[in-house]
Amino acid sequence: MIRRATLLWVALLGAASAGLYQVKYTVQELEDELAQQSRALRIEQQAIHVLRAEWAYLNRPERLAELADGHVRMRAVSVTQIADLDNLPMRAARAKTRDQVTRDQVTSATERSAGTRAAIGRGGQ
Amino acid sequence: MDEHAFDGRHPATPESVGEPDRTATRLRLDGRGKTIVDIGRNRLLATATLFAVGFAVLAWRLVDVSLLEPRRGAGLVALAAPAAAVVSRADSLDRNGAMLATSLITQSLCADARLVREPQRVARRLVAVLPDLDPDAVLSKLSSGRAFVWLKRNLTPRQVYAVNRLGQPALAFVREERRTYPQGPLAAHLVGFTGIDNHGLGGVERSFENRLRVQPGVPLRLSVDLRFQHVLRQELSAAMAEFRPIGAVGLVLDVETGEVAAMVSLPDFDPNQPGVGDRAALFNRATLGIYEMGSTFKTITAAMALDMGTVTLQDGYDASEPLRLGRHVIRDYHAQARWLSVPEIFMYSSNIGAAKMALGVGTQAQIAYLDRFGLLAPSPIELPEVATPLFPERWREINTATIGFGHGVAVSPVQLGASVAALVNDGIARTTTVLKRDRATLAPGRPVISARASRLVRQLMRLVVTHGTGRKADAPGYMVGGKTGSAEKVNGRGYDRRRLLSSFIAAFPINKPRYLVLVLLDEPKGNASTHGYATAGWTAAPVVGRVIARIGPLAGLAPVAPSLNEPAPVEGLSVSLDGSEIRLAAF
Repeated sequence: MIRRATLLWVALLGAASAGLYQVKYTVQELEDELAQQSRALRIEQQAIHVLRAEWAYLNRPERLAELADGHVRMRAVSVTQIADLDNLPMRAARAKTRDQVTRDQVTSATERSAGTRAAIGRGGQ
Repeated sequence: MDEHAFDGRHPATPESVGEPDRTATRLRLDGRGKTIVDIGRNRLLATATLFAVGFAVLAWRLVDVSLLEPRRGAGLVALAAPAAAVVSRADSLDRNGAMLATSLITQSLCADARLVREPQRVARRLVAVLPDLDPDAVLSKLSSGRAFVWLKRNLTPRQVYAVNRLGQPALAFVREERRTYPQGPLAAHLVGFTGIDNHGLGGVERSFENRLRVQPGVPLRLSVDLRFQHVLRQELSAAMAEFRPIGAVGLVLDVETGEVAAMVSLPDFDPNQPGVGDRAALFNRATLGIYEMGSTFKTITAAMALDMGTVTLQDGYDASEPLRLGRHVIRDYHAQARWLSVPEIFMYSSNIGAAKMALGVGTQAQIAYLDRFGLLAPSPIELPEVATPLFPERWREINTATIGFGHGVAVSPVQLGASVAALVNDGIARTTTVLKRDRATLAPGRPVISARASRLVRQLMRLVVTHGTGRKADAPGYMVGGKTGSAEKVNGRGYDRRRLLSSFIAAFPINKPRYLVLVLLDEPKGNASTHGYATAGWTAAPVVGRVIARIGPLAGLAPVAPSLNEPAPVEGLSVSLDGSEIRLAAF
């Protein structure tokens, strides 16, 4: 009776020590790995930081404008090119000339804008 | 007592120690012995209970820590991760997240002169890879025998590589940070700059020094929109080239929030090298320059007169003869020499009319209004370079009259911009800020004039652009309203007719203003395209028009068709102009 219990405790103690040993070394290994990853992460973060600065530098509006002038054949949007989707002409309007349609869009856009049906009286400038 | 206790326990086997029941059946004690055994048992029981509770607590804590506290795990992960901030000073970003200022890690070259065997040779080879070093200075440093000498700060990675290739054990690098401004001079005065030790010396860098250092991982969001800033700077630079003024100021304010969307002061500088070039370029004219604004101030005068009700749009003043006050005479630049209605006074920019309007308001009320508009105290903008306005110590009648048309009080452009922004924003003033504000959690503004007076002021401003001195400021579709100002600059004791301060202050869309645009040219020179005129209508107004035409679409404002500027007013107010009726813009 005594012996069996003692053996049991000894076995448990042994298992616990082995487990502790195992866990401790695993943790140590993981900690090393963590430190290594943290270092790597730090280096990556620094690289990202520098790259973001470079990205900002390369995206200066001044430079973009220059590049756009040289490579893209686009011009600034004029006011008459802007209209709401709701203001697209109905099917019936197809027959009209293109100019007419554009003018209608603009007019209807203006009619829609709430609170802006304002104007100046007699005579332009 | 010991003896009895021993007797009581003796028959128990080791296994049965923990089992009081069995012991109880085998033992028969009475009298004193029994009592003592009972006491012993009770004590054991109490101790065992204490231990049991202790272990239970430990066990529960174990379960709690390992299984039931997910937050703790996250905390540990955060603890294990490297700090979020790579550098010790926070970045500054514009309102859309574009980078304005950041700190880069650089290496600075130093040397331990004790380790240098052949100073001549090392110095020669070092200067060969770093040509901008002075050979004599390097040689004297390397032969000084000191343990630490600086050779060059902030090397590029390429230079670091080249120096390392020399293989000199005496040379070493120190990790340093260097403040870098990727946008260059674009928002120089606003963003500011730092010294060699990365302490802010100007602009946001200086006013938010603590904030940038305390939270290095959290970027500072400024209110400026880089695209607006670019447009404004580009158009102002073009005006600088065309009219050759000695300086120019541009300002775009968000009327509804008080945020500075763009701020340019020319000439400007490259904050990456603030020491290079003219020191005068560091001067921020928009906040630190104070000017007698001239006619743009008539907006202020008209606003106070309309708010007080001393005039209506149908009223007017006689401007047929110069106004005499004591030994001073006030004349008109665009003289009409007749009775002028309030809209006419405003659109022809009549000094006589504005002076009379100011006199109608009265000195005390004028001071009270100017104070309420924030024109008598420094701007609350968060920049270190803020000027205190100049105004008369003894405010006499003549001061009231001249201040009516913008002479006698000198304010900074940002102050004028902020007060006119309040006038057009239904009379609600917002504190000017360079930090991004959340529209959802906007603090309530401070009413300075009534909403009705604000509407009248806006109608007058629209009139200036459609029929008056500011026609060139119109941007089709964006309903620009504004006011010109061509102030003669003080020259010795009087005003100089040839040296003008030409400015234009505009708001758009004038029916419900979103942005205020202010352009100010200091001493522009007229040229052939302006028929020799250097006045605001010819110089500053076109710049404003071009700026608005470009930032309107960027701001996502839907344009109103040009046809709307023509008849069909809904509630347009009729006024008499040049003997015939015209109607004011209605909104």
